Amino acid sequence: MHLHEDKIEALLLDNRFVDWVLNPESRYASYWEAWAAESEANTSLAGYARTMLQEIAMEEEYAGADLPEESVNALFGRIREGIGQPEKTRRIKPFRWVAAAAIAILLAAGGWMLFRGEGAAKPMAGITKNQPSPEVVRFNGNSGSQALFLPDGSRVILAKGARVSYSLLMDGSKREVKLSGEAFFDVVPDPQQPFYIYTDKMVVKVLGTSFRVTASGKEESVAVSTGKVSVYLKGQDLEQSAASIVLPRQLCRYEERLDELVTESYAGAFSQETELEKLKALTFEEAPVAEVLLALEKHYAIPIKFNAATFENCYITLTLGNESLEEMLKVITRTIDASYTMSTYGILIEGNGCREQ
Amino acid sequence: MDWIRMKSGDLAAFERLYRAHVQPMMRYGLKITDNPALVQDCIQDLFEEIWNTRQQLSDTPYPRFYLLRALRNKLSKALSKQSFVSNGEMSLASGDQPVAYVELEIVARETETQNRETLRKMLDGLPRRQQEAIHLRFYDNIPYENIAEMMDMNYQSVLNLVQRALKALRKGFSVKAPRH
Repeated sequence: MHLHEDKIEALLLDNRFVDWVLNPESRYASYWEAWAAESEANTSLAGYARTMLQEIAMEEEYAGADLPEESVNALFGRIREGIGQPEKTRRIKPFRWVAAAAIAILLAAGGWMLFRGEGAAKPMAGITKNQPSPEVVRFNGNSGSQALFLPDGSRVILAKGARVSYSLLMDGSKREVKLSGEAFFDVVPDPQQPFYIYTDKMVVKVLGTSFRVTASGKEESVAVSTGKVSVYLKGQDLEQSAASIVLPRQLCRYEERLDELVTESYAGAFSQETELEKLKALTFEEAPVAEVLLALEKHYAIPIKFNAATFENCYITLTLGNESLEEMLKVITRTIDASYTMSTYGILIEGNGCREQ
Repeated sequence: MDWIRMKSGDLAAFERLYRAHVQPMMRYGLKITDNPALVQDCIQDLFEEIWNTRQQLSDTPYPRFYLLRALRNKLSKALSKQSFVSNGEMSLASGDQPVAYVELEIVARETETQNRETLRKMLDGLPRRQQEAIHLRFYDNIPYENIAEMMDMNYQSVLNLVQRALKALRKGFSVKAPRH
């Protein structure tokens, strides 16, 4: 009957699968990546199961609030006293009381003023980075190529059967993507956070450029459209060894017989560039914010949680792409007077909504 | 590791353990009772006991699991004393056929359109033990066999419990699996 749903539930009832989604250092990662790449059916099952799990985790994250820092400290203070190891410093409790009371009064007054001033203070965007974010796998199981965004705003055209994986928020010191199959990358420049692509045999280092990488078992190559990339053999020390620099209209390929990289001129076309244009056309004019957020969720492959009823009357004009996910969120939340929080489970958008026009 | 250091009397390691686990413990505690003060009291008791009996404690590679399990025991004792929840109810293992099922189905059908509040409502509408198991598995990353141990159920019953919960939640997710 609901065979698909049963299979998804079977994955969620498998400890190893759940660990892979929740634990960035899961030792089952390579197993599930390989499993997901086995067939289109597997990729889609893993995708559904992962999304459902992340949605539950995100609900659980946001439903309960964390204990405030002061309470955490106070509770530990009581524990220390309980075990006969009280903290030595600090005997100023009466003062603290006075200070707390003063703050409370200020807040009350401030609250009244804010209310009269119709919400002058904007909520601040916050980012919770307490643990590395889990890995996302995106596989193109369609018959044609598929365009997608990475969290930093870089765009990727995945050829049929190609697969990329990266960390959900791409928030490490490097932007790192694993690739199998053929893909065209249009990378947003960011010298602070260099972009690396790992294939079976090669490592491609990018500072901002567009190029095509092929990594489909027998053939591994990089062809550059604009800009410049460095290509290394996997296992090479990236700091020490010389890279093959690949310029526009050049192609660098891995020559298996010699186990080395060969660079030659490339006269072929980049058909993917026209695909990129299509992505640019993702423009919303006075669109309901829910529609925009759903598109964002889909193209950046990241769960976004918001209250649809609250933001019912909010409309935005916006073009997707060229911008990191964070930039897009800033623009959106500024427009609708809301705030966002990023966590390893996804994004939460909160606010008071918009008045009816 | 901090657990081993703590056992040998390292107070800084003890504090690190506390800070690394207090938030998940608080969250989990609030799945069992609605009384945050009680959860804090139990956490305090628990850490004091851990420190005072540290030499007798066995090693554990998973302090999270150890701490959550111990917290549950404490809460369940405290609650049965206060008779908020009877012992019988606490150990009412797998047989809790959810009353809220029918209602959930209706809610789900009404909000077939994009309504992100649905999943939260559905989670809140689950029987308490299902909520607890879902939280432990999908938030705290506790393996099913350990959940079974904590909740005093057998392994298969935990799987059944979570499976029932997942079926009830089906319509709450933003993604809809195609039906072949």
